[in-house]
Amino acid sequence: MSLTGGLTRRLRMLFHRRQFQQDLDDEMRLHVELRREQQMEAGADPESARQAALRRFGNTTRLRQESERAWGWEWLETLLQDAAYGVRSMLRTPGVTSIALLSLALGIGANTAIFSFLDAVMLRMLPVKAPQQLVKLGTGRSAGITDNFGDPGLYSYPFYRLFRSQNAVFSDTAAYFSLTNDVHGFVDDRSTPDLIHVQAVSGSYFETLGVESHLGRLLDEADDSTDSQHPVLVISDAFWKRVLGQSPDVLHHTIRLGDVTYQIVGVAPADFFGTTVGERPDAWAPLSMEPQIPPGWGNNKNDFYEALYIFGRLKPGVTTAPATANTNVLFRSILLGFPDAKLTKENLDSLNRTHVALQSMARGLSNLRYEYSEPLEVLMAIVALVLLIACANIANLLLARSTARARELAVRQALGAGRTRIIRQLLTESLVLALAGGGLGIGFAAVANRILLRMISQGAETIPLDVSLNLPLLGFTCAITVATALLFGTLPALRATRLDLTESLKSGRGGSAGRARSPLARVLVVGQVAISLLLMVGACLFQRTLINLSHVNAGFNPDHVLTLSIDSSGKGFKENDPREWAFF
Amino acid sequence: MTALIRRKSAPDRSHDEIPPGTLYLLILKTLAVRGRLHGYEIAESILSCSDDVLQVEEGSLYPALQRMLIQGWVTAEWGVTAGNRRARYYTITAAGRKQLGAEISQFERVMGAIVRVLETA
Repeated sequence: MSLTGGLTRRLRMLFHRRQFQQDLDDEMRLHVELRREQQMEAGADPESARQAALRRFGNTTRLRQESERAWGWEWLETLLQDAAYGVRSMLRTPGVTSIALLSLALGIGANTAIFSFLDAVMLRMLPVKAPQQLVKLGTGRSAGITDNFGDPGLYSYPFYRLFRSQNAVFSDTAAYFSLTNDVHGFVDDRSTPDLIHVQAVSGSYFETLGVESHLGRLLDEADDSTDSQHPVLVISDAFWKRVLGQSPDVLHHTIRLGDVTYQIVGVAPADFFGTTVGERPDAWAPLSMEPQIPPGWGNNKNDFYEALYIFGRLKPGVTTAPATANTNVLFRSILLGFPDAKLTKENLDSLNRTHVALQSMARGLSNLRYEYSEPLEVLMAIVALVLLIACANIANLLLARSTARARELAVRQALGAGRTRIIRQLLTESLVLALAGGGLGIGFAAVANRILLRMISQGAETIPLDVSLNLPLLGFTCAITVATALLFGTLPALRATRLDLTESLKSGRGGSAGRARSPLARVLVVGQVAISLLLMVGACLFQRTLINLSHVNAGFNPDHVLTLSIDSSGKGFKENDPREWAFF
Repeated sequence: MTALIRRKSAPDRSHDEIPPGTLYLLILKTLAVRGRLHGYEIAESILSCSDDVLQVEEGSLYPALQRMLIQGWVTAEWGVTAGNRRARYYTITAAGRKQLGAEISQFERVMGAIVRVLETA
């Protein structure tokens, strides 16, 4: 018979256990009765007929157990029994249990929360094709517009064009405006504007990243060929869902920004959030349109209107060193070749000192990273210590509990419980504790993550950052704490079950009074106190600093003062429009 | 002295325990020949077919039947006996007949070997 058939039959038995046992009992009772009647017909008196029938049938209890064992669910039953017993014994000592659970939840939760954050901000790769091949020019630390002669991080549009055609090390290069433009635009003929974060990107942007559109098409070189002639937008999946209700005819919709009406030509894939971690543009426009978003902003003609980031995909086999050399040679020759370059001595000196570093773009750019890398690393170290304390705490509690239970174990052994059975039961109990703690920890991590994100976000909008729980690390912390619980829940059991029973029965009567604690427990306590002291001093210092900071005198009365910013581009106001000044 | 070492129950020479491992064979064969039977009938049938020599330890039928149910060799359904009692009736399946063939050939192989050993002695 097939294995699956056997399995379905076994499962059916598991779900209809009561019925099954009832059937078996009925069947066996019938057998004994029939045998008794047969004996009576043969001439036996009722009592001896009954006894003969029972004798011939055998031990009913044993047979019933044997029948049930045939179905192979015995392990599950003992597991459930042990788990139930574990829960009961946990509830008997609510103090110990709640402290153990709390340590587990803190250890697992804090670590997972902070690491998920660290991962989102510092470690995760961009969701694009082969991200490790991508490098950016400069550090990406500065953003905005500059007219410095030869800035190593920001570039002008003409520079990007020349660099793209002349370099020998990148299979493709792309540029994007270093700032995301927050503008208000009108979808179709709607009367209320929506806030739209627009990122202006070169026509090669999506192709260099190797991103495929979810719907329609993405931007291409043709969109970026002539200034202000290509009013097209690619919108993000989130914007499509939020503002356009995920409508399938999205390609027939338009968005009006200022005076210009843009055609929506495509939707980016859901996991693509651009190239800056912590930002999530709603739409991408070609750089050719940058001067219109908002009007009067951006300049693609000026050789020294430096506001773009440039990144590229290294050709196969090209390493960073030759690429850096080639980039720096080009950097100088392009800048010096601009007809309007002011070749003063000062500028030339500064150009000679400037070096363009190539940095990996695999994890994108992020201001969050520069701001929060160090705090996150410090926090990570702290929560790792918390995990250590949590483990020591659980170890100690379980050690103490198991030692106190030595007598109980001895009694049970004396009553005939097998050693493996006792150890298995203690294992199950520890597991129940560890799993409950793990569950609490996950809940704690999920809440803590949201609170952390809220804390570093300014204003009403939460930073769009995917800080969903990091599963590998969650697995790691859970494994560590569970392993601790199992190890320290079972070690004493191994020791206790090897005891001389009579000794244990006699001496354990007075509880743990006068019993010397094991050296292991002492080491754990010392370590725990030491780490806790360290963390507490650190926490007190931090708190003191925080309190001091909130009392800094800014030199003015900050009560009831708010800041206000106005986006007038939606009404078609040009930059520095006199009407705007008149408003104030 | 002998009176003091009386056996609690003298071994019953009229019945022989069935050889180990042949319980499935006997049950399957009985069901294959007699069709639909309940547990008591199976035990009685084995006893009477073997001229009251082979005695199944009656209770041990039931764990064996459970194992055979899992294997899919037999199916069970509730029915009513001639004496108007509720009983669980067992029927052999196609898989059970296949298993019966396998058990028979294995048994014959072992028996044949034992017989050959006895003959050479």
